[in-house]
Order: sequence, then C-alpha cells, then structure tokens
Amino acid sequence: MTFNLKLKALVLKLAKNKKMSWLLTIATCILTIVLYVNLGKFLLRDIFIKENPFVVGAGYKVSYLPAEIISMKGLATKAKLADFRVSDRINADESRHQRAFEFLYPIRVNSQSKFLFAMDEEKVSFGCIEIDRDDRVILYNCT
Amino acid sequence: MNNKFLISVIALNLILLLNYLLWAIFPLTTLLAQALIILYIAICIYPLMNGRETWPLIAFICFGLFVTIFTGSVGWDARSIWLFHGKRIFFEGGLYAQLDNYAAWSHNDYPVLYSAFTATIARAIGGWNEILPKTASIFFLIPPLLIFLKVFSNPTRFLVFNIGLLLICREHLFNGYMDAILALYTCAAVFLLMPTVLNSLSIDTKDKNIYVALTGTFLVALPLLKNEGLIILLCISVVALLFKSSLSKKSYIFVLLITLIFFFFTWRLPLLQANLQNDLVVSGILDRALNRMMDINSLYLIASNFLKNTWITLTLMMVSLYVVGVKFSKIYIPAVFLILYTGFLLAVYLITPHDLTYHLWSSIDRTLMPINLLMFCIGILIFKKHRHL
Repeated sequence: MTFNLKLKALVLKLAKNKKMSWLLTIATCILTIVLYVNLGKFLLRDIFIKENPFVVGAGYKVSYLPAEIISMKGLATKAKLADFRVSDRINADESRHQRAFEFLYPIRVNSQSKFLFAMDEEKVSFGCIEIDRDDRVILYNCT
Repeated sequence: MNNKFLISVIALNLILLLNYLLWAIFPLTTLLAQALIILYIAICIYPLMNGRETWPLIAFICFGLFVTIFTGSVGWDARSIWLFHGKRIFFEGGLYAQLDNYAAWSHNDYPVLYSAFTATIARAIGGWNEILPKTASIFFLIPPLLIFLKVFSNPTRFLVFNIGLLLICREHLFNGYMDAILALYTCAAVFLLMPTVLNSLSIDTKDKNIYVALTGTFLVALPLLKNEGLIILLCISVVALLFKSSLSKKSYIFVLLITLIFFFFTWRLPLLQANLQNDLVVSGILDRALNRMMDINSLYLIASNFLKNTWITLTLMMVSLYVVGVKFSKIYIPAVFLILYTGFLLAVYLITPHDLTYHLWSSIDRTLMPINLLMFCIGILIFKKHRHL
C-alpha cells in the first residue's frame, strides 16, 4: 500500500471510531477553553466590573485615553463649549489629536474657535485669558 | 424545523439592515431602539435553543458578551472609525452624519451598517458610553455563526471551527473592529453558494426561496460592512455566475441586483453627492503599481507578508484536500474566490499611496482574515463527510 493510501485509511479509521471522536471532542473543548483564557487574559486585563457598563458616559477610564484628553472633556463640558481648538503641541501627537476629535464629540474641533486647550508649560499667544485648568491642561479664551 | 432556523437567521440579518435603513430615514427613538434589540434577542432564542449541538455557540456568545460588556473601547480603528461614526450617528440623529467630512482622518467614506447599530445600542441605554456600543459586534457575529453551526452540524466540528476563528481573528472579534465580522460574512456567503453546503442543509426544493433570501441577506450586508465588502461581493458574483452554485443564475442575478441597488441608493449615492473618496484613490495609481512591480524589494515584501500570514491555513486546507482526496471541482467556488480576492489584495498593496512597509505591517493580518478563515473552513468542511469527525 502506498503512503497516500495508508494515510487515508488511518484518517478514515480514526474518523469513524466513536471513542476517537469523543476524545477529539474533549481535546477541542480543552483547546477552546485554553484559547478563551489566553484571549481573555489579553482582553480582560483591564476588567472593571465595579463600573456599571449601562450608565451613560461610563468606560473612559479604561479605554486608554490620554489623561490630557480626559481633562479636556471635563473642562469643555463644564464650560459648555460648542467648539474648541488645541495647541500645536497637542495637535502634533496623533493619539491626542484624534482622541480630541473623537472623545470630546459632539463638542467639535474648530481651528477658528476662540477656546484653546494647551498644556501648562506651553506659551500661548498674547491676549488669551485662562478660564479654567485641570491637572496639566489649561482652557483659554482667546477672543 | 430546519426552515425555521434559516428564517431566524434571515430575520436577524434583516433587523440589522432595517436598523440601518431606519437611521437613514429618521433619528431612532429610545423605545424603537430598545424594541429592535429586544426583537433581535427574542429571535435569537429559537436557533440557539434548538437542539443540543448549539452549546459551543452559546458559550462563544456568553464569552463575547462578557468581554465586550466589561472592557473599555481600546482598539485604534474601533475608536477612530467605527465607534466614532456610531457616535456621530447617535448625536446627529442620522445615518449620513459623517458625510460633512468632519475629522477627515476617520475615513468618512466607510459604510456604516455596524456603526448604525452601535448608535442604536447607545440610544437604547439613553446615551453614549465607551463600553456598550461595541457589543454590536456580538449582534453581527451571531448570524454567520449560526450558518456555520448548521453547516458543520456537530459540536466537535464547530469547536474546531471555533478554535480556528479565535486563532485567526483573535481580539478583533470583540473589540469593535470590522475585519472579523467581514471575514465571517464572507465565508458564510461563499459557503451558502456551494452546492455541497446546500445539500448538507437538506432543504426542500419548494423552500428554495428561503435559501435565496438567506444568501441574499448575507450578500446585501457585505458592501455595507466595509469597503472591501464590495470587492468581495464582486469576486463572489464572478464565481457564482461562472460556476454552478447553489443558486440558479437567474436567482443570483436577482439577488445581486437588489444588493447593488440597495448599496447604491443608501450609501454610494449620498457619498457621491458629498464628494467623498477613499484614501487609496489618489492620482498616479498606475505609476505606483508599475514602480512597485518593477521593484524586486516591494514584490518580495508583499509576497513574503502574504505567505507569512497564510501558510498555516493554506497548508491545513491543502493537507485536508490531499488526505480526503476531494475533487477540485467540488471546491471551485471557494477556490476561485480565494484566487480573485488574493489578486485584489495584491493590487491594493501595489497601488497604496502609503508607505508599503507600514501599510503591510498595520493591516495585512486583518485584510487576510477572510482568506485565512475561508481556507480553514474548507479544511473542516472536507472532513464533514466522515460522520463522527
């Protein structure tokens, strides 16, 4: 018998054996559980059962958002802004730039806005008045 | 009983499409959003509770729900594209909110079938948050998984499929990315067009219309999930019209027409009116393609990345074909689809205006998901004819 036929016969024999099929089921179950655990370890490393996922606004603390963006959201909401712009330094960092657009929405980024967010160590143009600050982020009114 | 199962899957897909359509017409109210979600869950109960073989899928759904409900939204594309578009639909109260091209980097030309459902979930709980909208992934995973449950018709085979699914799609199944969902919809659509699958589902000839509708709902969803979905639909259409599929040519053309009309009027036309284009459509496509084809390093980079990301599933499929001795004519449809779609992906990497190394590094494992998953599924399907495996 050629190798090919022997291999086929072996596979068919194993496939038609009930005990083998049970063993295979158990093995696949174990492997699936191992994969769930592995994937779970990766996905659930920041599990936060304490926070109610059904509450409006929940989850930003565990979504790897930069601290500055969370501060900006708090300041913008408190000041009831409709739009804002960010300093060149915040704009230069892609993660902060995109998160400013996405996390603060429906408050919009507008390059013409009089409200400017900048970091505390940054120099802003003359005429900008500090409205509020949170940690390292300052909200200016630059009319 | 079999028909009720298939009708349930059709209904689940129709709810997802109806939700999309409703957002296109008016802003969903909280009550209507809750009703849609409850209806979806109620319909799910029948196929999931129907028979003992469904437990691996129930376990998968429970795991998925646990992960999506108790983790934040972290994935870059999920936050910047799919969930952001959902947030825009939710706050603006309309399907076409992103067509004003605000935040142009978020690929405003991408379709919003998934995003519309994230908006519905947010509406159902009364506001947006960073957790719950991404549970939409589970709602989109269920219909194709039900098809695979029926096709593999045995918990062991489904578990083997489940293992492959977890290894190929990994966290992208639950983190708000679209690639795993697109891969599952693609595989389900290709499988449904295979005569072998039609036979294994033992559908009466008088109920052929149900099967046509079932295949149709998967095909309609494809271009509305992701831009690649339109190309996948075209590749599937080529094979369905070239070879003998489970749908007659007349039925397939009818389904394809409905799909294209629905896609054109609900998404493509508004996109054209808003003058939004894909980021890959930058002038000089031919020059870039020619330059890369002449550059041995670029060709090597593309080929090596393709091989590195597909060799395992390709080997599994080939070994299965060899061991069981399946005739190539039995797998014309998936095989030719794989060749066509691989060709399309090669072309995308040849014309990309982005840095080739970066583009390959950031996307190839996700763009190859439909190919890898389909090859893996073919491997399992081949063994199906052996009763106990």
